[in-house]
Amino acid sequence: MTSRHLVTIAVLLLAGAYPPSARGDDDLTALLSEPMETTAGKSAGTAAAAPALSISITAEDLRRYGIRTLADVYNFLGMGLVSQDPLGEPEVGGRGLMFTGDQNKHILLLIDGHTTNDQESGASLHGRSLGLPLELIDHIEVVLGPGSVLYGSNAMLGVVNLVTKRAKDYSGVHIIASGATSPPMDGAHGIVKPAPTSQYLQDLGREYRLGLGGGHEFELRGIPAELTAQLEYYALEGPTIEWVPQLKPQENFGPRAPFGSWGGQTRNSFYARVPSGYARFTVGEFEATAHLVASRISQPYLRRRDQSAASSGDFDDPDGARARRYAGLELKWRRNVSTVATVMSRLYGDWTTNTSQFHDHSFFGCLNGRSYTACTRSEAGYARSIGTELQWTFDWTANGSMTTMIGGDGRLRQVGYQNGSTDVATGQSAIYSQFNDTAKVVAIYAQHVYRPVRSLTANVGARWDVDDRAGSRLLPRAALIWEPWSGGTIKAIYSQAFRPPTADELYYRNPLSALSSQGLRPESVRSIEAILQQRLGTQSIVFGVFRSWWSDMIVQREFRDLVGQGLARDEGSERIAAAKRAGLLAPDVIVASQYENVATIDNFGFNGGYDGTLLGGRLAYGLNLTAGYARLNTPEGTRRVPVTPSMFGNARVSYDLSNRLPVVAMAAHFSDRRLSDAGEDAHFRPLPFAPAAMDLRTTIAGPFPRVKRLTYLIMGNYAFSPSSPYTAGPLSVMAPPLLVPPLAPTVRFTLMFGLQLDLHSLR
Amino acid sequence: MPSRSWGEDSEVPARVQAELIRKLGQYDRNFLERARKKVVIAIVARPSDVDSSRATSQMEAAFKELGPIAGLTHEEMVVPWNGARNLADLCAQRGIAIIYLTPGLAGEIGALARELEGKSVWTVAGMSAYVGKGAVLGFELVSGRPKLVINLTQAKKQNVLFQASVLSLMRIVQ
Repeated sequence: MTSRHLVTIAVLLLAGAYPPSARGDDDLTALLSEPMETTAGKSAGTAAAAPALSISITAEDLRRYGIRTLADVYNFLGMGLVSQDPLGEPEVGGRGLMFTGDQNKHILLLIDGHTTNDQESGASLHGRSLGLPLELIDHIEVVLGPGSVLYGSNAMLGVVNLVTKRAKDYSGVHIIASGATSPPMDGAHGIVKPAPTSQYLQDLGREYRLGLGGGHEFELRGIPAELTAQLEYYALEGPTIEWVPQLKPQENFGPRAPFGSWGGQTRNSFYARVPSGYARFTVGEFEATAHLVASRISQPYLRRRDQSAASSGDFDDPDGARARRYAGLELKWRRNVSTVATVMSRLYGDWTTNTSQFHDHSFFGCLNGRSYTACTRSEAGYARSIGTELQWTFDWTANGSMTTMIGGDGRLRQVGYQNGSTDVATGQSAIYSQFNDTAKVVAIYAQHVYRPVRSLTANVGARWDVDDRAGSRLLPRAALIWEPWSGGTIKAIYSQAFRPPTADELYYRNPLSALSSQGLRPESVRSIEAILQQRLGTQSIVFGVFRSWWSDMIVQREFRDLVGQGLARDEGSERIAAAKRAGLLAPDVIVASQYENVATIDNFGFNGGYDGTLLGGRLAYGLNLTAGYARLNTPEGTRRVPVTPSMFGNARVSYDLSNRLPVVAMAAHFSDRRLSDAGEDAHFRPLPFAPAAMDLRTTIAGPFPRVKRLTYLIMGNYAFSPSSPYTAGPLSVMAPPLLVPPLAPTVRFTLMFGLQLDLHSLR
Repeated sequence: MPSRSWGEDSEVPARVQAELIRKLGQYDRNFLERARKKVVIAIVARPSDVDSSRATSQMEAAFKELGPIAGLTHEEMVVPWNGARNLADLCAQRGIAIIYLTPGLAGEIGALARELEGKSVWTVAGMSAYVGKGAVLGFELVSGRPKLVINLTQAKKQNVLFQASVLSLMRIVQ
């Protein structure tokens, strides 16, 4: 289907859904349903006037469609972003691009404007480990495309800002309890037929979430104050999954798999525990926020990127998990200092520790050199950072027709990392890589908005970033926003973004497998975009085309020294030999990796969306579609981008039965087939693809019968596709030629039931 | 003693507030009778308060850009706060149809509401908290969308009568 067809269909839908006779009250309803936006331009305005393609998702939609994580938001409600679930922390991409294994460091994730990306790795979290209770979210602003002009690094695919509720919108005390279950899955990734046995009950996946929160407005010595906060505990015991055995006769995959075979049932290694809390306290012109999370998440298989030829990890390892502790604090002050000038300053800090480990009974043994002795492979990292920002905004004419924003932001961060192994039998340990780094980032930015006439706005801005790791960089943005007719907006945007190399990419080395990088440069992206938005009453349509150029992409290249096996010398063997001579690699190493700025990406495509309400808002619906073409150009050739669907979208409809009856809703997410995370470079032929996917979700939510202040939510989610694009097991790394590696399953079905008790007054 | 606004700011941009006021005009059954030939809007300011001065400038500019309200032309005037009684008297003298309350007046709204009982006039505030204190109409942002807040009790006292279809779009404060 071409973009022209899509536009035609959307226009016809608009015309049909909006007869001329409906225009009366709808003028007012339309204005009341117009999303306001603060993220793209760091100032309040309508989303249509934002200098980017901006989507706003409401708290009502989150509940109406049984949304459980941000990854759910992108797939079922969002436009332009898509997530994939490797049965652990979801990966997020956008507009034809996803960087599998990048820990989502190409997306900037904010909570109330506070950057949550990990200061050690740049990672952003879009699953349960984010640790922000969904009930606290007022709305989510998703700004697509490069956004470094106001936010600095990592805003390459887009910026996601989670805006939490004011106390007045969450007043009283709220008690939340929800539980969900998923059936076990067989080796073909099908749902195991229910059986009235205790074993079946044990094999069911179980998860629950408990929350206690509330909001309160009061006066503190005559000054208006408010507090909004919630504590939450989430736990998951995933369903039992059957894995088809993968035979490697010389390998031992630990005590839960027969010798020489990886496979069987995972019953102990698919779990999560996430206690978290978030609080926002406002008094007068001051606002303080605190966010605390401690997560422990285990995947039922090791991702391909975490394996090596010598180490595939034990099967169903109950102790193999990633743990993260995070505390983020911010103090913000804002004052109108004159009729034209406003000043905002903030002081912020973040503290993170990340640890991960897995057990391994490798043929190569652990530190004592004897085969099959148990080894614990571990990583530990930390990051501490503190920063401050000062921002001035001048509304020269007091009507927004000419405003200037200037600001400065400085952050000091200290990060550290080490990885190593411990021999379980002897307690002997070795550290392979270790680094500590202190770096500062200083930036100044400016944005000028000029509206010469009511229908035309020009927005130009630039940011000058000076980063100890990345040098200095100027990042411009220019946007022209034209409202040629009522409800219509046309935008043309040029923007840039960058991401400096992480400390890990700069300093990581391992004498057994990795060389440290040499002079990495920041990744950068330039983008042009054209957008048409039209609002007609309560109906809204958006269509945009984009083209982006990515350069200096940091890729972990793999080199092999196969001269000893009779192959000719090449760049890889020369590099490994030189590293051995310099004492950087152990003498017996034949495969080593190194981070390099070697790739560029060509990317273009379109986004389209249509949403609206009818029957006084009781019937709500939406449809989004994104298509993107992307090719990765590396020294090895032009490659498709793995894991990324080139076309994806969602459709949703809900109806409010009113009068204490529930809202019934249905949503679907779809994506086309995706190349596996093994990519094109692995020697799998034919190339392994995960099939096209569709998830269908039905939700019923409403007041609990005969119980005041109690509401319920029932949600069922079914995944039609049995497989994710993630390869699992030792054959994903070292498969014999011509063998297609097994793909990890999806969770096929989930049934959730939740209750919320709203005690509206603290008194 | 003048109170400070302590960072009171409307969540809803001035242009959107003005547009909402314009659209709401056609849904008040008594609006045309109240305004007669021209809609007079009094923007009440507390000159010593920066937040108030800023909101005054923004709303004045936003009203000036606005088209007719309920088919009538409109005229804006800035009125420095000089007590509830004086403002109520001014309403009668100048035929004011809409009083827009800027920040810094939280402590005065109760008295103003009492003075305006029986008079036909809108009192509108950018902050929804003012509606609970006695303003007839206010604005807030919920889920990133503008919402209308109405004090129905005070609305009746000030002869403001919105159609039921519009009331269904408002959060009602008694």
